[in-house]
Amino acid sequence: MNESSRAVLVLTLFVFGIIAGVAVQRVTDTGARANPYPTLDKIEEPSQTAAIANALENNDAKALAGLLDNQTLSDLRDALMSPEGAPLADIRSVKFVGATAKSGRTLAGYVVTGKDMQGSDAIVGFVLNVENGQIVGVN
Amino acid sequence: MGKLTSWMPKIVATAIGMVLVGAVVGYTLSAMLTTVITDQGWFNGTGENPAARNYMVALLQREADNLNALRPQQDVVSQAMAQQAAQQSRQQAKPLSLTYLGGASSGSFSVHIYAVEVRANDGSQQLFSLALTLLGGKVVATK
Repeated sequence: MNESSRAVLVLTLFVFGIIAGVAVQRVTDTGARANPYPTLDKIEEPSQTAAIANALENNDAKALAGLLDNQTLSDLRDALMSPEGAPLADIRSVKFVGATAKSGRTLAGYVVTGKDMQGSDAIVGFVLNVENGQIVGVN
Repeated sequence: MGKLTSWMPKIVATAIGMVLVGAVVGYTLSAMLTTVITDQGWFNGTGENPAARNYMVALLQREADNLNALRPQQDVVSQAMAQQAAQQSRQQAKPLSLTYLGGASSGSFSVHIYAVEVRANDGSQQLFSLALTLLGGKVVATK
């Protein structure tokens, strides 16, 4: 066997190995489990929570102060801690991800991206709880 | 390796070696790609991360071992506390529904939000939310 055909053979075997490795990984990767529970219907973004999201995105402290009571503002501040435990100082975007409702309670989920107090990129999620048209909690 | 393969013809040893090296490279690349794709929610209609779904199902079914596998490495005391919490919650509430609200990612982090409906021991139904923060296929924070 000459040098070039030997190189082709080695390369072919290497590629075959890669394909086999990918196949084994795909077969052994279990993926997501089925959700054994019923799901609730999604609803549109509530106007009350949209106003909060808008105020956050615009860094409008005055609007936030008018929309939420002191306890809810305190809960919102806690909810906006980055995974490293630093508060989000510079909010870049506030994305509504979905909402659902049951028995008069509505949950509206948001994901906020920005920079924390240490200047690191951060992403946090929070959920606004609405009852009777009023925001009653933040998670 | 030399002694191990000394009885084989050199070309056979080379062939087996190349296939094994290729397989390790292929497996590793595929696993890394899978992690990135699922973390970012690419090619997934809902954007739901399989690790986040698995975590929520394990949480509601009180599978402490599965929960530990989806969290970063923890010390033994934290694992024992998680086992206790799972046992206590077993007596407290029955899950009724699990709804994925949505999620987003930034860099290597992603956030996935769920709504959970439970029936408490006193018969009352409660709807609450959980926001999971994931990094590298592990749940690093829950709120």
